[in-house]
Amino acid sequence: MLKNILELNSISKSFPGVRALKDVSLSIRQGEIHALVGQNGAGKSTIVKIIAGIYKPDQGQIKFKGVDITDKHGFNIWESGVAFVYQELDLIESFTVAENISFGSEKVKFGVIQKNIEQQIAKEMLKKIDQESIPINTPVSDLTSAQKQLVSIAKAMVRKPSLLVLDEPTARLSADEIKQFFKILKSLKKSGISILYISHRLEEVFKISDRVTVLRDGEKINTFNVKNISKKDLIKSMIGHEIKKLTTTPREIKEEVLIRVDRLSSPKEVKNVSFSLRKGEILGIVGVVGAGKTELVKCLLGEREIASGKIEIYGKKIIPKHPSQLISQGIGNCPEDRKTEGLILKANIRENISLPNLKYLSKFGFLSFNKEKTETRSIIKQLNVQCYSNEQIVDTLSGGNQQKIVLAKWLLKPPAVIIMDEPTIGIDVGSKFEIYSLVKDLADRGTSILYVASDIDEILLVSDRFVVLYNGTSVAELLPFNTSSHEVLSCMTGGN
Amino acid sequence: MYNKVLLKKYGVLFSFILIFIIFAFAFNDFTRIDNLLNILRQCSVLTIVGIGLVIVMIAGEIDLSFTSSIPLASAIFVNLYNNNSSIFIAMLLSLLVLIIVGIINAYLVEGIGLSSFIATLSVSFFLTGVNYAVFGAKSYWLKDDLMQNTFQGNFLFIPKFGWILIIISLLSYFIINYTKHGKYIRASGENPYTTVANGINAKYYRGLAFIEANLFYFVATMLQVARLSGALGPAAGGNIMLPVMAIAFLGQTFFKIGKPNIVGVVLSGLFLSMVNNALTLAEVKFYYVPMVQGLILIVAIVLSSSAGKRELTQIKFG
Amino acid sequence: MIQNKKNLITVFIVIFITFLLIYTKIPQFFNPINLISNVFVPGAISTLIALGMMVVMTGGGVDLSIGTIAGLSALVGVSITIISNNVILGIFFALFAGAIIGLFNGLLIGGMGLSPFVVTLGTTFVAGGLQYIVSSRVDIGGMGGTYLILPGSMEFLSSDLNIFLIFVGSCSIIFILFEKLTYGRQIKSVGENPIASRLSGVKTRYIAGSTYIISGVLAAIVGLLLASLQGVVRVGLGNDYLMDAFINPLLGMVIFGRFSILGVIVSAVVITAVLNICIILGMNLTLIQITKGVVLLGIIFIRGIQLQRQRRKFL
Repeated sequence: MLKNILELNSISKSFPGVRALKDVSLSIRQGEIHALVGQNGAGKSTIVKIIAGIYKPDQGQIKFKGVDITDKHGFNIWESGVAFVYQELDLIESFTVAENISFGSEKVKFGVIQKNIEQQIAKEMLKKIDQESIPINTPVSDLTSAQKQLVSIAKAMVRKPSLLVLDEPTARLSADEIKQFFKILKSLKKSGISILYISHRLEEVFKISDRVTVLRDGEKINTFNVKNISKKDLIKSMIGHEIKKLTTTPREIKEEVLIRVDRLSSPKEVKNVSFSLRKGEILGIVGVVGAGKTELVKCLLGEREIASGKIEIYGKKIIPKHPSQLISQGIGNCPEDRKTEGLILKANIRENISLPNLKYLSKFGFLSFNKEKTETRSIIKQLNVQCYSNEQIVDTLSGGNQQKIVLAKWLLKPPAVIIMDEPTIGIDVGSKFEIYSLVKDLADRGTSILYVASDIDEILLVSDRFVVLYNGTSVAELLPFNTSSHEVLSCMTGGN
Repeated sequence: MYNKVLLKKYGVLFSFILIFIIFAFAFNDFTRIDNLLNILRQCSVLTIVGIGLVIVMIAGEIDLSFTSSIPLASAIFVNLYNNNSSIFIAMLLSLLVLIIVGIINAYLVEGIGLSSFIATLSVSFFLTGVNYAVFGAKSYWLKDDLMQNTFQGNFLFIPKFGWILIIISLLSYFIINYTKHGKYIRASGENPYTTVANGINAKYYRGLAFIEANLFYFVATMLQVARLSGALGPAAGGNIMLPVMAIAFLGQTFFKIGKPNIVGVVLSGLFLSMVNNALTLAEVKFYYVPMVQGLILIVAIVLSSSAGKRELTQIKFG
Repeated sequence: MIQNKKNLITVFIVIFITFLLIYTKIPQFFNPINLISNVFVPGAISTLIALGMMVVMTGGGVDLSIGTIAGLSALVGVSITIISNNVILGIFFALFAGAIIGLFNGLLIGGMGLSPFVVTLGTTFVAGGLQYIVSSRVDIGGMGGTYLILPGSMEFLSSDLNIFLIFVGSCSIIFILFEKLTYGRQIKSVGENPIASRLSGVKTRYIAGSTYIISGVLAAIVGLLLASLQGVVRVGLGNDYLMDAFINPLLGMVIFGRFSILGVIVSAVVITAVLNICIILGMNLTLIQITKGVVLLGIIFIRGIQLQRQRRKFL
C-alpha cells in the first residue's frame, strides 16, 4: 500500500505584487524519490519554504504522515521528521565533521559535550550514507564541496527523518561524485526514507527519481512517472507552450566587436568561456543558477581573478582590476543583486544615479547641484520611474523602479556598453516589459548590451544572439529566431 | 601557496619563539627562573581581562565596558571591605555589579540591536560617571593586608597570580571548546545565519558571552585590588583599555587565522609581558615599551592578514 | 529627530525658552568673557577634533589615535619652533606630522583593508611613545622631560581671534570637502555601501584611506591650539579629547539623522554650554560627571530605538 508521507493540498501563497503559488497540490509517497522541476521563479523554493514552516500558506493544507500540520505556527521541522539539505551548506566551517553532524543535537553531561558519543554518532551517520572514508576529526573547511554536501546529509540523518528534502544537491559535484551520491540516495530509499529532490538537471532527474512534478509560473502542471515521459515532453511541460519559433527577422548588426572574451576561466566557477559582443547588439548569456553567469560578469568587472584566457575591450587586451577601468571606457553594469550591489538603499534617487557620474557632473571637483538635479530629473522622466521626486529614498521604490534607477546610473551620457545581470528578477510583469523595451531602445541607438539571465523566454525575446552557459562553460551560441525554447533548455541542462 | 598559509597561521607564533630565543641570548638574567615567573605574574591581570574580552569576540561582538566596570567594581569592593563588610560580602557585591553590567550590555546589543562598539563604549562612559559620582576622583586603599596576603606570593614556587592565570586559562579553554554552551557561542560568532538555521538562538548565546566576560573581569578585579592593595580612581580605566585590546587583537593573529581564540590571547599576554620584561632588563626608557608593543601589534596583523583583500573592513555606527 | 518643518519650529521654541530661562536665572552665562573663554573656545576645540572623527566615521572607519596624534604633533611643532626659532616652520611640521601618521593609518586601513580599530590602536601606542621621545630630545637648559614650554612666538595661536579664524576656516574647508565636493559624496557612499560604491566606479580604498589624513591634520591643529592655550605641551596632551571625538559626531547623528558638520558643531557647543552652566551653578563635579554619562547612554538608547524602528536584528 503506497502511503503518502507528505501531502500538499491546494496550496496558495502570495507576496506583495507577486503570486508565488496558486492552488498547488502534490503528494510524496513513502519510500519514493520525487523530483520537483520548473524554471526559475516557478515556485520551487517557495514550496520548500512552506514545507519547512518558514512561510505559512495563504490557503491550502499540509499533511505529514496523515496529520494536518498547516496551522502549526513555527512548525519545528527538526522534530517533525523532515530534514533539509540546502544549496547554501549549513555547516560551520571551522568545526570538525563530527561537531557539525551533532550540531544542534549534542549529547551533554552537566553541560559538557560527550565527545565519545559525538564521534560515535558521526561514524554511524556516515556509515548510513556509506561515507566512512570521510575523516570525522578534520575541520569541514578542509573538505571538498562534495564531501561537505555529504556531511550535510549525514547531519540531516541524525534526526532520523522520514522525508529528506534536497535542494540542488549536485550543484557542486563532479560526474563521479554524482554517481556515488546517487548510490547513497538509492540505499537511503531502500531503508524507507522518502526524498524530495529539487533540481535543474533533467538528466539526473531521469536517472534517480521515481516521479517528477512540474511547476510553472506558480502552478502545478502535472506529476509524471519518470518511466512514462520523455525528456522532450518534460521540457515542453516546463515551458508551457508548443515549440515556438520567433517570426521576427533578426536585426542588422554591425561587425565591429567591442568586447571579446576568449577561453576565459576563473579559479572557481568559470571554465573556458568565449564570446564576442558587437556594437549595437544585445547579446544574451543564459544558464541555470550556478552555471557561472554572475561569476563571468564579475570577472569582466575586475571583481574576480582571471585564471586563464583573455578579455579584449575595443581591441585591446585588458586585465580588469577595478570596475572604474570599464566605467571610464563607457561600460556600465547592473549587478545581479540590485539591493546590495546596485544601489545604496538609504540614499535617494538623485544620489544613486549621480554616483558613477560624479566627474561628469562636477567642475574641478565641485559638484554642480543644478546639473545633478536637472539631469537626474530628466532621466527618471525618460525612464518613466514611478516616484514622487528626485529626493525619494530608493529603499521605498518598487523592484521595477529600483531596477530602472540602476539602469539610469549609466544613461546620463550615451553608454557604449551595459552589462546587465538578471535585470528583471523579482519584478512584476508590467515593469519587466518596460525594461525589455528600454533595452531594445538603447540597442537601436547604438549601445551594446550584455544581457545575462536564466529565463529562457526572456532571452529569446530580448536578445539578438545568445550564448548558453552550462557548468561554467559556453556550450552553444544560438540565434533566437530559429531556436526553440526546448532546445535552449536542453542545452542549459546538460544535453546536446 | 602552502607556505603562505603556514606563514599566516604560525608566523606570529614563530616570531614569538624566535624573539624569546633572542632575548635569552641578549640578556643573562632573562632566563632566570624568577625572571620568567615574574613575566608570568605581571601579565596575569591584563591577560585575564583579555580572556573575558576574547569570549565576547569569539561570539562575534566587542566589549569596551571593562575599562570602567573594573575600576568601579574595585572601588566598590575596597569601600565595602573598609567599612567592615566581610570579605565575602564585598566580593559578592562587586561580582553582582559586574554581572549587572554584563546584563546591560547583553540587553543593549542583543535585545535592542545596537552596535556592540557603541553600546559598550557608552556603558563605559556611563560607569565612569557613576564611579565619579559615588566615589569621587580619589583612590582608596585597603585597610589591611588580607587581600595582599591571600593573593601575593608564591604557592609551590610559582606565583599565586600565575596559578590563577593558569587555572583561568584552562577553565576558559575548556568552556569554549568542550561544552555545548561554548560550541554555540563559537558558532554564533562564526556564522549566525547557519547557527539559526540549525535551530539555535544565536542572540541568546551572544548575550550570555557578555555576561560571562564579566565573571572573568571579576577575577581580574580581585587580583588587581590585591596587587595595588586598593583601588585607583576612575581615571585608571584608560590604563587598561589599550593594553587589553592589544592583547586581545594580537591574540587573533596566533593560529586560527584572524579568529579570536583563548590560546592566542594567553600567548600574546605572555608575549607582550616578555617584551616589557626584556626592555626593562635592557634598561630601555619606559616609554619605548608601549611603542614596541604597538609595533608588534601592527606587524602581527599585517603578517596575518589575507593579502590583496578586496573588501574594506568596516565599522558600523548606524 | 529633526524631520520636518513642524519639528524645526518646536525646536526653535524650545531653544528660545531655554535662552530666556538662562538669561533670567543665570545672567553670568551671557557675560562675554564667559561665553568666549568657557563656551566658545572649548566648544571650538571639541568641534575640530570631532570633525576629523566624523569624516572617518562617515567612511565606515574609526580613528582611535587622534588623541595621541594631537599630542605628538603639538610636541613636534613646539620642538621645531624652539630649535629653528621659526614659528611657521614649527606649525608646518606639526601639521605634517599629523598628516604623515594619518597617511600611515590610511595605507594600512585603506590600502591593505585591515581593521581600523586594530590599526589605529597600534598607532596610538606608537605615537604615544614617540611623544616621550620627542619631548625628551629637546633639552632646553637640561630640562629634558615630559613637557615643553611654549615659546613666546607661538602664543598668538591662543588668541581668541586666531581660534575663531581657525575654527571658521577649518569648518568651512571640511564643509566644502564634505558637502560641496564630489569627494564628500564618495566618502558617504563608501561608508554606506562599499560594494555598490565600487561597482559604481568609486575607488573605495583610496577614499577610505584618505579620511585618516584629514583626521590626522585636524588632530594636529587641535594639538597646537591646546598647547598654546595651556602655555605648555605635555606628553598625553589630547588624550582626553577622544571622548569628545566620539560623542559629538554620534550626537549630531541622533539629532540630524546623519553625520554633518552642523551636527558636530551643535553637539559640541551644547555640551560645552551645559557643562559651563553646571559649573556656574556650582553643581557638584561628580553630579556633572554622572549626568554626562547618563545623557550619553540616553542618546545611545534613543538612537537604538530609532534604528530598531527601521530594521530589526534578525539573528
